[in-house]
Amino acid sequence: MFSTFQRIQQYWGFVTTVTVFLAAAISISSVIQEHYFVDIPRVSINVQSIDVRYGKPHIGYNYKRQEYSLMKFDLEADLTPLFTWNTKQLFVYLAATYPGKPYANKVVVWDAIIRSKEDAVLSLSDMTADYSIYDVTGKFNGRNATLSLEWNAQPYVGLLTWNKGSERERFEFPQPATAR
Amino acid sequence: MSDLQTLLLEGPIDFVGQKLADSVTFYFLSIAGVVAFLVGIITGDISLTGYTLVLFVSAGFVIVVFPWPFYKRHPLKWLPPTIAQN
Repeated sequence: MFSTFQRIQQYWGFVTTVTVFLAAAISISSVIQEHYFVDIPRVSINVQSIDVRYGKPHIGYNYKRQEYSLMKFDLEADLTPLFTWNTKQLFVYLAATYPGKPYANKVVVWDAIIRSKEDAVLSLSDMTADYSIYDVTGKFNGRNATLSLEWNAQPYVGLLTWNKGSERERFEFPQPATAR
Repeated sequence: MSDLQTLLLEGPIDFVGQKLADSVTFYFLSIAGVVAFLVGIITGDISLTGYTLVLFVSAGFVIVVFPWPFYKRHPLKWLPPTIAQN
């Protein structure tokens, strides 16, 4: 550490080391806080109406005429327990899962970004879904589906985590109203 | 080079001073990290962690990097010059 330049190098090297340890400590502390000190968020979902139509699901170039469904729902959720000091934002989405061959289908019908604890209480009623559902086969055939609220907690430092609410709402795809 | 230039650009300090600068770096920055973490977890605001860390790092930079007089208290004692034998 004889010269000024050497001292700058040594000092800055240790600054970056401390920063790495600090980042590790922050992310570990927020994981511990989430798992051991926090309640499970309460979620309540209700499907107001499901409407299956026959036609083009989107305005655009390459969409074929097929069955697509539009949904209206109520959502009550208190996601404030998910906000730790290390939470930057929550990406919240409502996903519908229904059976299919060879794998089950999962489609997001609505999503939102929550940036602070104050905005984390969701109280939506008679909300139209952002996205419609259309199947790879083009038909629903009256299948049963489950709607659940899931979220991705995005921290300032650390790993991304995904989780979902325990409440699940079941519904059935009705037959299309209009004739083909 | 003038004395001021030598002082600032080269900043030589003696060996005991170098050990001191090394210790100050280690302890000061370790404490900075711990304090920044505690400030953040107690207030629940991670931006305060960033600000305290920047504050400590800036203060530490001034303390460690500049060739202060307290780093030069133990200068090397050179032997008196001997006359060369031809």
